[in-house]
Amino acid sequence: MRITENMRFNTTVGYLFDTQTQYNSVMEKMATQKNVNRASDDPVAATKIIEIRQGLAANVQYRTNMNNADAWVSSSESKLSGAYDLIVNAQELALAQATATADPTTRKIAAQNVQSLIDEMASLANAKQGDRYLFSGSRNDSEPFSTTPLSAQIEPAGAAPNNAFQGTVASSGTYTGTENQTYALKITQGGALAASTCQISSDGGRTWNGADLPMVGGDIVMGDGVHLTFNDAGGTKTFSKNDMFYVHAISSGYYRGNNEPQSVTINRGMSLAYNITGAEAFTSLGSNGNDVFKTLNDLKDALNNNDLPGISDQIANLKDAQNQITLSQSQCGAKANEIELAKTNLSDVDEKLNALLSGAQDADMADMATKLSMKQLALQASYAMAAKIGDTSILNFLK
Amino acid sequence: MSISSLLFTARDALMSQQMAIDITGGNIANVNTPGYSRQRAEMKALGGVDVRAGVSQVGVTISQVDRIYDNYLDSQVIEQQQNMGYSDSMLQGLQNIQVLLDDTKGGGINDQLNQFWAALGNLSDTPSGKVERSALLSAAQNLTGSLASYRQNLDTINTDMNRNIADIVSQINGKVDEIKDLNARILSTASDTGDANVLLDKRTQALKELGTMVNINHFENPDDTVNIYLTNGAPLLQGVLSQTLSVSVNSSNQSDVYSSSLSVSGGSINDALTKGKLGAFIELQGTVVPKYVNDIDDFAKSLAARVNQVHSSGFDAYNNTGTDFFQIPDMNNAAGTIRVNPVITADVNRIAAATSVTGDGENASKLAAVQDELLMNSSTSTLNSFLATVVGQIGNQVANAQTDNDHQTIITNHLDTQRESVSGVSIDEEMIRLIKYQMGYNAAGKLASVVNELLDTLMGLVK
Repeated sequence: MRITENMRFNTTVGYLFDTQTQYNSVMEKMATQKNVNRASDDPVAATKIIEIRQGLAANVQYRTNMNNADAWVSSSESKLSGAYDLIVNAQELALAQATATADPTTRKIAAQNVQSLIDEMASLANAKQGDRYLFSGSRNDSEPFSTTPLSAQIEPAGAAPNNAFQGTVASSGTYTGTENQTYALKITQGGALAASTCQISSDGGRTWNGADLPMVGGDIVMGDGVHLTFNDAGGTKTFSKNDMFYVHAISSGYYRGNNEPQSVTINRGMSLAYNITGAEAFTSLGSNGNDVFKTLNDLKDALNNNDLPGISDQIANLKDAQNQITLSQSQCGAKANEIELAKTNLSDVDEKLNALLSGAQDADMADMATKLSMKQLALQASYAMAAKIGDTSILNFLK
Repeated sequence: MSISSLLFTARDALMSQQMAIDITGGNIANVNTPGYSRQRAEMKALGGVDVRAGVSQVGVTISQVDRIYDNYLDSQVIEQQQNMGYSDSMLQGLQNIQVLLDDTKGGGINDQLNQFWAALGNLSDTPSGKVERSALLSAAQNLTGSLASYRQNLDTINTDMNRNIADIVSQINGKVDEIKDLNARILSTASDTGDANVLLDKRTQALKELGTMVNINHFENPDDTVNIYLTNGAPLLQGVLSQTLSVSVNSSNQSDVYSSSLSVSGGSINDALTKGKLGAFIELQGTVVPKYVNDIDDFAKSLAARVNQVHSSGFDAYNNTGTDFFQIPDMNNAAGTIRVNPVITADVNRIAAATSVTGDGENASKLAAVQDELLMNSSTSTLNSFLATVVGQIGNQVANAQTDNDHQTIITNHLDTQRESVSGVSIDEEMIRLIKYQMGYNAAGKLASVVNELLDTLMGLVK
């Protein structure tokens, strides 16, 4: 083959560039410690890396969620254990005052002790975690318990501030439900009162009745004796879709919160209700059907009234209350365990994801170091060769 | 025969050797000229010997100067230049897109999306938290900002392509004109006695350069001129008659190329432009960029649609029914115009974190769970993995283009080497030829001086 000057130079430059490109590529991988520095280095790995990174980011969030839930659960647990101790104190008082050695005076004194137990119990049951009440269900912006019994009531109706409806809405009726509930009404078709339709919910809007109800007449029966009455000022005020109205209905007793769970996501598609509602722990809706505040108040009254059979009755009730709170405590324990388990699980997943990520993107340093010195050698050889290229010419021999 | 006629022989020999040295000098001078084909002086013996008449008159002359080249190789080079030009520009264009979309190192749209999900998760933990709501708003704004800037960058690439296409079309017209001029000069030189070697070299070089720009077929006519056609048969050059290409930007901000040739019935000839830089630019603009624009728009639309749907099933901090979280004012530019609903920007309490009017955080949980829903690719992938796939796709395209480019470079280098081997100048060879011709020249000089002595001797007889 005829070898010409240009061929020699072009080939030399070409090889030099090739070697430099390979050298730089290894250098880049060494410096970044990553095999995949741009998607084109390994498109499949790049896709995987991004997906794994999303998985890891989601896990960080799940862990944050769990830590918050964990704090909530352990706070709840400690308050409940305080409540348990108070019940034990009340039991001791009741047992002591149920004996023949007690007399009306000691019972009066004991009644005062029970009152302070009630106050302490209320402060435990009204405890907050951050800005939120631990035991008020999802209505955690208002204090859940009062120390004196309340009669059943329907709170004034509320209207969302951004409703199109500018007329008035009022609540009425006598609440017959046993549980505190929030009734909601959502307009599904707007227009004049007579033409509008709505759906209603008895759990604050979480679930709806599913069928559109006519608004004609303006008096809507929400259930359990709760009515919402709309006044459209003689037909001058109209509704628009998604206008929201609601009313809180409270059954008689000491509890004003609700029985709704609060939950967080602790893993893909897995949520955990982390709260114990006051209803479960302290009211007759609980597992043993014991209204703790009522029991304590009844005990106090029995003591005040020197009512021996009444005191004995409350001893049995206190046993129920004790069991009910213990059950709530054990539920806290179960939740804490579930969180712990999910955390461990998450750590395993994290470890695997990290291993995958490392496998997909990290460079093998030993391998890279070997390659680097190989490429370095090749580059040096290329330079040496390039330096020699002009040396071999007939011109050197023509004198 | 006469002694004096020997002088003519010596003169012819001197002239011929000198011309051969001239040609060799030309070769040496052009050792680094791209596209130069080495030339060779062809020497031919003149006259004859008639022994009976006692006449011998043998001289030498340069019959022609050959241009040493391989026509087939040159055609191959022009052909491969079209692939090379396409491959170079395609790789460059794809790399530009990859730089925009690549998320392998983090910090891109995927991370923004992850932060958005995380902010929703935090809000679900603390639904009444003003800080969490504000953090969610800024995460959402970062996300829409990133989407808009991605979209804008892709639009910029599209606009760059318009400029590139206009540039390359004017270069093509210029190159065709240059070849037309060369055709004309070759035609006029051929009719004279001179040879057209240098012009032919120049034309081959011009054809190669034209090849890097656009896919062409070329044919040599019997009169040594060349015709150039686009692959759809539209002529660019027929002898000394050239056609021009023109560009106009259509309503969707893409370039359409037209030919002035009457044999092309109206309409854009984009479909015929598949190779060379022009082919690459048209493909990038017509197919590649729109695909990624669509992807990113689809992503924005799906994200907005699903998030809005979940968001409006919940209730904000004032117990209003949730509004739309995202707004897309222009559906044709979804990623470019997507924004957080101004109502929410003005008041973060309008974020509907609750599923009931009692202020729970469950709707935020539901919104965060959108990240695990299979919303994309006909319900087969999540929003995140869709983005990951987009990155994978551009990575794949770049990797393929890189492989193609490497392959093409090898072919082109190989052909260049072959062409150099045939037509290139070897200094070693030229030096040896120089020595050869120098010897010839010296010998012819010696011949002249011997003839001179002979004539002196002859003249001496007369004295």
